[in-house]
Order: sequence, then C-alpha cells, then structure tokens
Amino acid sequence: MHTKLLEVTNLVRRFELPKRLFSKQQRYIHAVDGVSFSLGRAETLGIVGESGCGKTTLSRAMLRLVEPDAGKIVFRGRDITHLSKEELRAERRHMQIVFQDPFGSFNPRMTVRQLIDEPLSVHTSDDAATRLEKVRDVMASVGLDPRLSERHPHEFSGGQRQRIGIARALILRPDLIIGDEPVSALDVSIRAQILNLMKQLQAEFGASYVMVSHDLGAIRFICHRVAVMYLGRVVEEGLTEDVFREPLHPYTKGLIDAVPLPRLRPERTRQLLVGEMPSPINPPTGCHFHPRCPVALKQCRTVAPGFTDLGGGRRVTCHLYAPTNGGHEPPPAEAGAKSS
Amino acid sequence: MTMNAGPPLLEIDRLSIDAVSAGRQVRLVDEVSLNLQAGQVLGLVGESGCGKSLLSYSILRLLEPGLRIAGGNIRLEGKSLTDLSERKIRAIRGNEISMIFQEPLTALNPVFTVGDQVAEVFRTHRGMSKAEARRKAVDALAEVGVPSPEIRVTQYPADLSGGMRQRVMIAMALACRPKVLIADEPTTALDATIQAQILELMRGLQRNFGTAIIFISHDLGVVAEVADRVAVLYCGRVVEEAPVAELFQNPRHPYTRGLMRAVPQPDAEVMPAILHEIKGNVPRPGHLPGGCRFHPRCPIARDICTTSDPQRIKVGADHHVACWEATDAH
Repeated sequence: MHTKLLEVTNLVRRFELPKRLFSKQQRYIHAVDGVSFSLGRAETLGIVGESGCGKTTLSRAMLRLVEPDAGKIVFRGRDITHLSKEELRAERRHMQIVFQDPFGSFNPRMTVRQLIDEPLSVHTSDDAATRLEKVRDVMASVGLDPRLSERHPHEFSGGQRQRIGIARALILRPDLIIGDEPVSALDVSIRAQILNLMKQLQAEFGASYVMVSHDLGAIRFICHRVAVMYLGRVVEEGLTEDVFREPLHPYTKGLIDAVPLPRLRPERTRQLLVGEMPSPINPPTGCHFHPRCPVALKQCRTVAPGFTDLGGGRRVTCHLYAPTNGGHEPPPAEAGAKSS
Repeated sequence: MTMNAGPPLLEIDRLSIDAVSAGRQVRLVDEVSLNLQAGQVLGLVGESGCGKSLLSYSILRLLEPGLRIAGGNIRLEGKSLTDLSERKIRAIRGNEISMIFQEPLTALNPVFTVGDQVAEVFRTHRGMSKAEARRKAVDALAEVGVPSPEIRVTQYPADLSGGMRQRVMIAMALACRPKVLIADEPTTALDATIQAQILELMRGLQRNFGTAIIFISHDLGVVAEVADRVAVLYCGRVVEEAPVAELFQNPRHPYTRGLMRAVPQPDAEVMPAILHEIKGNVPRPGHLPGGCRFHPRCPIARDICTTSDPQRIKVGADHHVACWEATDAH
C-alpha cells in the first residue's frame, strides 16, 4: 500500500500586524509561506529550523489547529481544508500531538489514568472497564508501570511525564502523531530513552510521525525524510540520510555545522553562518537567505529561487541548483554539488 | 592537586550546599572540590539536579533563601568568599567575578536602554562620569560584536534578538575585566547558528582578556568546544574530572561514557538503529541510592557499588574519577 496519509499543498498561514498610523495597508507576517509536502503511512517526516522559521505554526496549520489562510490539506484521502468544526472533530481522533513540556499541558489534579483516559472518553463510547483495560495496556507499551495509574503527574520525573504524554497521544491508535520538540526539555540521558521508545512504537503501531525539532541529531535518528525551513519556506527536502550526508542548501550546511558535538573534532573545517534570521515582517528580497549566505550569487538578491527537483524526493530551493540559472553548468564544487 | 603551576585562581574546597525546608535538610551539593586556574575555561557538565548551577551561584553567594552553604570553602586568590560581609561580596560581584545567565531577557531591566545598563557597570564599579560611561558602553558593545553599537545603546532589551541580548550581557559581565566569569548555560536558549557565534565570541574574548571562565552546561558538545578542563557532576558530586582532550579520548566513568554515547550526532558516519540509553531516571535529591549514586543506572555495577561509595582517584595525568571499576584497575 503506497497511499499518502497526509498531503499538504501550498499551505499559507499569515498573521495580521497592527496597522501603522495613517496607513490603510494591512501588513502581514507570513509564518508559513506556501509549504507543500506529503507524508506516507508509517513514515516520519522531520521539520527542522531555528525559532521563528514557522515550523510550529506549520505543525498546527496542517491539522487546522490554527486555520490556514490558503492551501489544501488532504488527510486519509479526504480533503479536510474546508470541513466544518463538527466534521473535523471526528477526524481529530486520528491525529494527536505530543508536546515539548507535557507537564504544562496536563491538568495537575487529574490522575495519570484520567489523563490517558481523556481522549478515549471524548472520542469513543467504550465502557469504563474497557477503557481502564486500554489505559493499562498503553501504559505498559510506553514503559510505565500500570500500578502507578492512580498517581498524579507531579509525582513523576520529566522522562516519565513524557511517557504519559506519549501514552495519551497513542491511546486512540491515531494514524498521525505530531511531535512538537518532544525530547527538547528532557535530560540528555532520558532523551535517548524517549527517542528509542517513539521509534519502537512506530514499528509496533504503524503511526506516521511529523517531528518538529531544532535538534538535528534527534531528527536524523528518528526521521525517514526531513524538510528544512527558513522564514516560512521549505529550503531543502529529502531522505534524511541524503540530506545529512550531503546537505545542498547553504543554510542546511550551516545548520548542521553549527551543532556542537560531544567529541573531539579535528581542526574544524566548518563554516559558521553570520548574522541572524531576519524579521519575518520585512523579509529580504529575492532568496530570504541571501544576506547570510556564504555563496550568494547576484540574482539571489532579487529573484526568489523556485524548487529544483533533483530526483529521489530531493528538492532544494536555491539558485545554485536551478537548471535555468548559469546554463547547464553544474553548481560550484564548494557548494557540495551532486550530479544527478 | 593539579599539574598546573601556581595556586589556583579560584578554589572550591569540599563545598556542600543544603536545602532547608520545614526543618528537613537535603544535601544538594556534597563536598565538591574544584580548582580554576587563571585564564582557564572549566566546564561543569551534568543533568538537571546535579548541582551545577547551585555550585556556581554559591560562589557569588547568590543562593536563594532556603539554600545554604553547609560546609567547605570558596577562595579567590587565597581569600575566602564564604565569610565575607554582604558589602564586601557586592564589591566582588561584577568586578572580580561576574556572571551571565541562560535567559538574558530576565537579567536585563526592560525599562532602561541597553546603553544605560552597560554604562551603569562603569559608573558603579569605576566611578566614571555619565558621558564617559556612555562612551565606554559603546566600545564595550562593539567589542562583543554588536553591530552599530551607537544605535543599539539607545534601544531597549525588547528591541534586541536573543543573541544580541546575550552579547549585551557578555559586554556587561566583561566590562570591568573580571578575573572570573561564571557562565550558566549562556547559549542554551539560543538557536544553533547563534549559539555557534556566541561560543566563538566567548572563546575569542577569553583569549584576548585572559578571563578564567566557569562554563556550566548540560550539553557535552558545547563543553567540548569551549572548555580546557571538564568536571562531570552527578547528584551533587564530581564523578569525573579531566582535561577536555583526555576526557573525550578516555572517559572512565560509566556515566560520562553513557552521556557521550546517548547523543545522536547529526554528522555521524552511521546512525545506530537504537540509541545507547542510560537506563532509569535521575534520582531526586533526598532519595539518593546508597553506595555509588550512579549504581542503579550503571551498566557495570557490582556488589561493592551498592554498598560503598567510591573515592575519587587519579587515573592519569590530571584525570580523576570516582568509580570502583577504575579503582580496581589501578
């Protein structure tokens, strides 16, 4: 079966800015600026980028947790872009989110059993005994002792709370789980446990994941494919192994090079990106990345690059790889070009 | 104790810190000894609750109410800091020892301009005039790579990005050319590309000014980039301490090894199908296991580890570890 679970086309989400005095013109921030991707069954897509790149807004907009302003979302073969609230609610049981800080999203007065049971009682008509059985099953699946089900979340450590968050997302056996920085708040020694758990649960239950994270190591470990975002746009997309072994977009390279590694490296050959991500209120003309780009060409300042499809699901938004620019010459070697 | 010649600039000597609440005492930092040599960067690594932040706050006596130094001493150039009067310690803060924090927005005053706040350091500690302090503030911001500093001084903290705010904090901390800078997770709240820039800046300034730095981080990768020496903390104790190259080439404590292996590296040759885990959870203070504190999570624990606390021993030039496995190998 090779059907897509989720197909997002040209998704746009913008936020209105307060009007300037005497100005009639409405200004916007384009948090998500025409993003397209698809997600297969039991596949994990990583969305990486720095704060403000729009990755969190994208993860909400693809489920219509924030309403997109334009674009199309097809989920489980059904166009959900214009579904009514009631119709959407029925679809929601198939999509769940795991948050960065599970504690912040838990009602502290509820017991672990009540917390994990909540989606079941909202979305199903199972009786109490059946639900309890399911809660105990899912607790065991995520490595929590079912005997602790009457405890409160504050009695658990950070890693165990994230297990509760995952159990809660998993209990309806959703087709799609969005992980919004699910391990970022955890201690290093606990992160590996949770990442392993999520991978193992996917093998067991076959859910698709969208993992939103700035943690490139975690993304490389858990994702089949990855999309790199910069100022609301996807700048590079491909199979995780391809993108990490041979990043094409200069931003992707800079991002990977910036990660401090817990080992001694030989004299560094890495390139640090200069400057900061510009304000999305006034994004740079042309390619959004050109002011920070170490290999920017003349046209990058004026012309926004389109997607270049390099085959094998590899797409990059960069003039260096556009066949129409620079004739048929291959891209410069120092840009890590790959002949296709 | 160390091979470096001369007495240490800053000496933490069997320091213990307790939390006291409702008549109950819980030990959070337990007889930690560390030396910082002049011009050196000492990295303190550990997970939440290991006591790394408490340790650093206690140096400037910034512990919150309810926490107290229960034993030991902290000496700057041989002079004890633990029994100085509040007035005297205030003269040391910002002047001889200064500090930067994880979240600069909470450390900067939102209602004063950046220039006012940087200038205040010069006025307070150097007694400069307003105009002179202002000029120095512009220079100080230029030094830490703030673009167009003469414009930035008129702006408020909210007008600056996270990276710029941290640069401002660094400018303020280094304004009086302190002997020691305590940096508590200074890049944790920043994006990776900005973190790389700030680390580079700190390394450069450290080389130019010869400031000694205590660099606290949960991230072994960050410490690998900045530190000369590294101390790994677990549950209020130093479990391993070594020069940075030695630590990464030859980690001896199972906890240190576990931390290094648990992090998936984005540029790894081969990504493992399953990540190396450190099993279990970090124990809560007051609920520490007996014997070696790491033994319930340790892959090589044996009987002695459950009953008896390993002493810190020397396993190489300037390399110390507290582990029974290492003790027996020597």
